[in-house]
Amino acid sequence: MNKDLRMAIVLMVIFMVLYGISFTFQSSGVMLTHTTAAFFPRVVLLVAMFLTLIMIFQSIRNGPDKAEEKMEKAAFKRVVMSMACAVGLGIGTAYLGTLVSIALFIVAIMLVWGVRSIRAMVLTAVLTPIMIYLIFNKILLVQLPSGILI
Amino acid sequence: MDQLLIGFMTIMEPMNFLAVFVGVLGGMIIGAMPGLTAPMGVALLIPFTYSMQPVPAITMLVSLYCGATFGGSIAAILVHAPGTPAAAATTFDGYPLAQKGQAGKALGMACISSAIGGLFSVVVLILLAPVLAEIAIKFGPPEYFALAIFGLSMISSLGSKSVVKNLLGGTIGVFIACVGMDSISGFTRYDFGITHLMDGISFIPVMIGLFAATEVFRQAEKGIRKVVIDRKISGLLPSWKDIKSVKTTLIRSSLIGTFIGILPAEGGTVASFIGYNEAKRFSKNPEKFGTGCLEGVAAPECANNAATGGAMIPTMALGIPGSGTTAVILGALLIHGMRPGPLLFIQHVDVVYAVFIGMFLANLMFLGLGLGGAKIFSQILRVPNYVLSPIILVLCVVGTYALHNNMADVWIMLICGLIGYKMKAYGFAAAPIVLGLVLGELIEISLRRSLIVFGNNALVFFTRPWSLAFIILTVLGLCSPAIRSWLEKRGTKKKES
Repeated sequence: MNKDLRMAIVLMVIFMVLYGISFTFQSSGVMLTHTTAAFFPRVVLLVAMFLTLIMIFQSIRNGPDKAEEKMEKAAFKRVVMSMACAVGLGIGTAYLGTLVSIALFIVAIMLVWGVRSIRAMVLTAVLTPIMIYLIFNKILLVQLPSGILI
Repeated sequence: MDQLLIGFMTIMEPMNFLAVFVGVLGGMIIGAMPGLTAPMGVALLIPFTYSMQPVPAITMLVSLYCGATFGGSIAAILVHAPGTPAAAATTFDGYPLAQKGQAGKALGMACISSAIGGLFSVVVLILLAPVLAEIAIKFGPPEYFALAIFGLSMISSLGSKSVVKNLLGGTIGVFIACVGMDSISGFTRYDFGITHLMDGISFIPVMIGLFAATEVFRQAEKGIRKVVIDRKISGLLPSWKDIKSVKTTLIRSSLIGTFIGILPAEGGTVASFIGYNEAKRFSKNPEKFGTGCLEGVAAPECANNAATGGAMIPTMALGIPGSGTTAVILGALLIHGMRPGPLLFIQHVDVVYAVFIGMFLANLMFLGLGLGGAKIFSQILRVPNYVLSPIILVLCVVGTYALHNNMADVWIMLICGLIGYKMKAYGFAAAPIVLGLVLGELIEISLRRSLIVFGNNALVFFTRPWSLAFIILTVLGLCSPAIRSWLEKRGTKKKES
């Protein structure tokens, strides 16, 4: 199946579900159509569905992809692991503390990317939290989440 | 004139002057690094401006915009990889010049042309924006609706090659703007019981996610990359004869760039390509283009920087972003409590003129920094992506958190980063989504107000002159890619025959 067609079908399903959800919005009985909360999202979703339909027709007309570019296994692994590290940074920031999480995140993502230079890893992992602390905590006076550590 | 003088005095205050300097410097660094773009730089810088006064905050952002647009040429000339998409056309002649051993001359010409284009566009901005704002002050909800739809229709030519995908991206952006409490009925929409979503989704986490976090994941896909610069940079100042030889090109590109910039959603990338093509078309030696001629560097660089001032005109005067970066700047203006549009010229006139003068100063500043420090900026290219990317993601997380001191924004940013990466893989660009998000509220409010005020009569959009004019422009804008491809096909057929 064409790559665009796959995406268009997924989008169409999402838009239809969102359209369905719009019927659950609260509205007062005396309201005119265009004053209800559901009016505008429905208009937008109808436009989106129409455009998705064009995308479906276009991708059917174009036929199957000639040679779909497949991501290398190693690259795919790197992307997924980097995403996991990013999510880990989010969780760590909330529960462990910002500065510790940043240092751990930098070491983790560099290992995922295959960096072998310990010097680069240590320097970046130490200097980045210090820089963040100085800029955000000291200069911009932002109270960063401290979690159970720092 | 008084306002300009006040603006000048404001910018000369040490804090504001420093803001321009930091913005230009940061912009040049970001622009010089392939993969880091101006909208990404502006989005990442916004968190640093939360605690600032509006003048230094906005001036710093627009200075970064100017600096990054020029900075893109450094990588384009030295390593054949445009630092920003707007510098793509600079590679055509910039890199061949570097190969001939004239990297310094090419960088110098890029710097001078960028500054001339930028300064010209700021003058146009100063002259035109207040006039446009004065016209727009008479606009009612139908005109605003038609204008915003026109702005949205222009995204068909932004970022991705597919018109349908661009429009769909814009529509998704408008839909995201629907999340949260409806301002007319007071009922919530698509909050799924999550308290944070009741207030709607802020622009900033979405922008940072789509522009910056997405880029980190794309870098992860590419893996470790180091840039090797084997060119010697010397003799940065082009001779007077060289500058004189591109005089007409500079005038033409300044006009093209400013005009393209004014068109909603058309940015520096389109301007630079048109500037390059027109320079080639009018040149006495078109065969020299692509082999390393100074005209081929001057034309795109002048045009893309001229687009910066041009793009600020609809952003400031109408509240309709002129490019992807100005969409982010528009978000920053909102964060600082200023709604771009005609009222901005009445309520915050001091800020407006200070920003204009700041932008003028930014163009002069990168001229000095570029000519004086091109060698240093070229060294930035050596920073490996495995050091830069994690730092960018850290800044994304910390910067987003600083917006409301809330982790929910961080999760929204990360989700947008993941979605943005996936969408990019399927050919969707981030800029249309951001533009849709920024314009979404204006479109909804003006549409519903028009219907309420004019008794549910949709014909009102076609009976008021300005509104009708914008609708006609929208139709033309939507048809333009089809017309363009038809004309191209016709041109090719003619050439073949």
